[in-house]
Amino acid sequence: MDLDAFRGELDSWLDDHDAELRPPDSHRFDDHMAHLSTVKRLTYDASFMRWGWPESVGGLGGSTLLRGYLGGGLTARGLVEPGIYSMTEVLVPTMIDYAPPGLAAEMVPRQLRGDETWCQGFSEPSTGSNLGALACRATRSSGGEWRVTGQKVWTSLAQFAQRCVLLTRTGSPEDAHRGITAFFVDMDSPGITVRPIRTMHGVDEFCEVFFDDVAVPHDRMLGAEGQGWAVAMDLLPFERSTALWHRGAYLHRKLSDLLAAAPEGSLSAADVGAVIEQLYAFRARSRATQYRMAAGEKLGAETSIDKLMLGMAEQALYDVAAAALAPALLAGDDPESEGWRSEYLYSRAATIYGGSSEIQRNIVARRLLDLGPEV
Amino acid sequence: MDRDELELFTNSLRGAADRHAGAALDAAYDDLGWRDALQDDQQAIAALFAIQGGRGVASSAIDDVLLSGLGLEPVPERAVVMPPLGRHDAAYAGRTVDGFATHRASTATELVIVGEPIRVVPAPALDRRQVSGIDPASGWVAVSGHLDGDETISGVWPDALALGHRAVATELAALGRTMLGLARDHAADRVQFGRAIGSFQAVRHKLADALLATEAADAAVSVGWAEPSGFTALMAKAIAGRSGRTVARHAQQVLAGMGFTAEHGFHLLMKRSMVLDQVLGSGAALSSELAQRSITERVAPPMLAL
Ligand SMILES: Cc1cc2nc3c(=O)[nH]c(=O)nc-3n(C[C@H](O)[C@H](O)[C@H](O)COP(=O)(O)OP(=O)(O)OC[C@H]3O[C@@H](n4cnc5c(N)ncnc54)[C@H](O)[C@@H]3O)c2cc1C
Repeated sequence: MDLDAFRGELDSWLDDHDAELRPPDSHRFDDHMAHLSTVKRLTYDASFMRWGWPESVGGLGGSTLLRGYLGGGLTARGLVEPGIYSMTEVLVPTMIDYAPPGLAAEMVPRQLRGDETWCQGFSEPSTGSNLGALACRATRSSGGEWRVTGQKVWTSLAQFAQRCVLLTRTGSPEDAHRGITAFFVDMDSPGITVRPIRTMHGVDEFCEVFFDDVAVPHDRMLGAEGQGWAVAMDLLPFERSTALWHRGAYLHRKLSDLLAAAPEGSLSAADVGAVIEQLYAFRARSRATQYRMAAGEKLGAETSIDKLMLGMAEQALYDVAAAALAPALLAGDDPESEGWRSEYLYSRAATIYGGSSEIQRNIVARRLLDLGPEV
Repeated sequence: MDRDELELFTNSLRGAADRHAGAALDAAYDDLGWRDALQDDQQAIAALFAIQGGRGVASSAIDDVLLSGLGLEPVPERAVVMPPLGRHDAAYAGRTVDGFATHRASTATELVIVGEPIRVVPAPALDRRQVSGIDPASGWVAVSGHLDGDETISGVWPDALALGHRAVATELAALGRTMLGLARDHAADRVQFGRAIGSFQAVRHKLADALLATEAADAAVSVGWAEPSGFTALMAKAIAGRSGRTVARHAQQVLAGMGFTAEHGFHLLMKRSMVLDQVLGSGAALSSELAQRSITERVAPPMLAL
């Protein structure tokens, strides 16, 4: 299936099924997670969700652009929220590249079909930006399996998740990033405790996850022992490519929503112009990234530019929204005001998650400007 | 042009821009067949303006671009009177001319005055003042006076304007990259407190932000050429202009005292970039005008589908 044909088929299918795909009129996160599963199931059964993924994991092949177009369509129409939808784009490529083939073939369809939610266990209480110092420990027991003990934090969707892509320390702390190993862990394993954390936007979006001597079979290792850093470094560019394209499509919609909702005279042309420029420039950049990825190029440090641009565009948009819609956003208790409030607050995280903007600038300086090590 | 031809042409342009500036550069472009190339293939325009921005040199190639956009023969005897700095609509109102031009306006015999309709007058009919201003190196000319005749010429200004926006945006993006390059190399070489200043995070992050701005400009410029429309051209111009302002600020700070001298090349790039940001409409005004339409219509402009 080529992109042209996909566009036509998907657009008319989305038109026809709009009613089933519309999110519930609810601000409960659980309802939106359930709705996400429904959308994934429907798009999977109609084949759209399978295009752009290799046949070895239940996909139908074809260009990765098809995934960008699908997610862009769903988010731009307001059918799914990109943060939770695009988790697939972050975690599935990692499974394809690093999981034992049988495991990927078994698990990936469940994720695509919306049967399962997966989470990403990277950050720890004492390890945010400095990911290479993580401490959650995995040791090999005499039986050959691994035993994991430690804690993760800010793990998005962990309370809903059946599986976790987990980074652990298998070497010594002095090995730093060389002593890290990745696993694909069942979240119902004995010894795992999940405690949701309320965010400032009022959603239990992420959790603390405790591991107390949790058994993980050896065949759940992603990549080789000690290769976890490479797994993480290869995952992050995916977090900064297709997932960001979806988010950009969503923000484009939100800009129109803002223009529709703003009271007469509340918007300055200069401010809105700056938002349009930033969003457009991001889209131009991100689209080029989608095409590079589709052409089989390996994505790397240059995707930090995409992430920085998205964070700036998103916050610029919601800054303008917060000013134009101030009475509603600050003091309105109707669902629409609550929506703007929640999204404004969530936009503050755009420069934090997936590697903070400072960390992205460090990467740009080191890898793209070739400025050597920092002092 | 096929790929090899374009590469050959680009290399020759590069050689010309390395050796010449101003009228001499025009003549060198002429020898290379620039006027035929520009009508033949827009990639030639993109290549020329990228090279010009990369070197920070001025030519009157924008006149050729605008003339060809108007469907007129681009010849050295014809110069274009563009709208005054900051504006993009017209270089005359009623019978009063107030416009901005390249150095070609001083030597041309005929002036093509943009607006709707397009007007033409013999060059001596208008006052042409050599602009010193902030960027004397570029040889800009201010054109003013009274239109006596009624002669007009066919040609659609918005079409030519879009082509002009793409050309100027391309040059602005390249100027930005050159400024960034100067600052980046300085940061790698200059030692303070016993180490290269490029090892200080404050400096690194400024350069990273400058690269971010440069990449934004390049992305918008590429779309401008690949999907030509008035809108994509305007976005390229606005984004490249903003990028130029951002890069100049960061590069200046990193170059510090050295970049504040007249000997260092930075200031020439910065000054030309400031003027180009205003040529054919200021980036800020273009984007505000577009935004005002969106505000009135209550819908965002289209944004690049997959
Ligand atoms: C909404 C949300 C969802 C998230 N989801 C997940 C998830 O699913 N899985 C997961 O593993 N993690 C997740 N995270 C965690 C996220 O990856 C971390 O918050 C992020 O990496 C920053 O770590 P930190 O919060 O510990 O801040 P710190 O690392 O403590 O940083 C604090 C501040 O110092 C700055 N800083 C730190 N080091 C440097 C440096 N070297 N140079 C310059 N500045 C520096 C940072 O930029 C930041 O501004 C999520 C976070 C948020 C907000």
